[in-house]
Amino acid sequence: MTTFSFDFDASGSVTSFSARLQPSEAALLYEALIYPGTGTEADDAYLTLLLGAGRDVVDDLLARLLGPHAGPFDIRFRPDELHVLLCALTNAPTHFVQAGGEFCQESFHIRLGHLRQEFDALALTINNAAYTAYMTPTTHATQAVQTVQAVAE
Amino acid sequence: MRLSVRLTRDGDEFIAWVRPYQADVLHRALTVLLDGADGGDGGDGGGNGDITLAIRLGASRETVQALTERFAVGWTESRELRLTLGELHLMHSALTGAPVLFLERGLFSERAFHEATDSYREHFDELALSLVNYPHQDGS
Repeated sequence: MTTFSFDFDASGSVTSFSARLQPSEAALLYEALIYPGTGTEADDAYLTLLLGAGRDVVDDLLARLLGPHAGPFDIRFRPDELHVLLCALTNAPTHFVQAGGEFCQESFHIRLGHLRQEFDALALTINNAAYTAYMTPTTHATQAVQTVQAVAE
Repeated sequence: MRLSVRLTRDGDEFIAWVRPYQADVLHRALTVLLDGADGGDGGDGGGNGDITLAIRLGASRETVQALTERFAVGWTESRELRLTLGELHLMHSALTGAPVLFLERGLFSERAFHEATDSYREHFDELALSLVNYPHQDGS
């Protein structure tokens, strides 16, 4: 399971996320991300509607995810890129919903090569990274204050 | 169809015909994601809450709150809304993103989701899909 770590700038804000991806996770992200751009209506506005970014950002991410990867590898994402990846993961399955709301697992599996639960799990990992980033700086600031106090004493 | 939003494009903007139940679902989707980004203490917390929302919804807290307000309670009949591309994306990412927060041991929990939203994932799915099918619905 992928985990993300964070890098902070001097003010304590999160500036980027690094992750160690398994080749299978990179392949899954690639499939999720390339899916919206394959339709005939996939102009920049359509990609922005689905993913929150246009062709340039999407193509750049695709190039970085593209294998072959011999083993786990390290990759770095900006927060806005994580948003695009998260949208790609949660968007794709909704296109396999039939009238009446039923999700067609088989069509999805054939087209994307994975099951919806695998997309969900990776999407949750990104959500957790977002949440942990939110919780972390408080601790950071507290530790910084404690260090300053210790020096003063 | 009850869960399908009728959308037409007007230049750079979109005109959506939104029903009360759809507004309710959108309100719940946005609220679930806002609540999860305030650390549970109602404040804006440790300074990176904005990062959390940027990743989850691609928007600032002010933008998310403003849009959430538009779907707040009090809808008794359908309304026509004028939306920017960014707002439509925000609605779409809330609808598709919210259910993922209700995984238990790696699997989606219909019960936990229903308890939090009083709705169903299939409703979120259908509504999300209808928001991105505008090219096919133009002029229909």
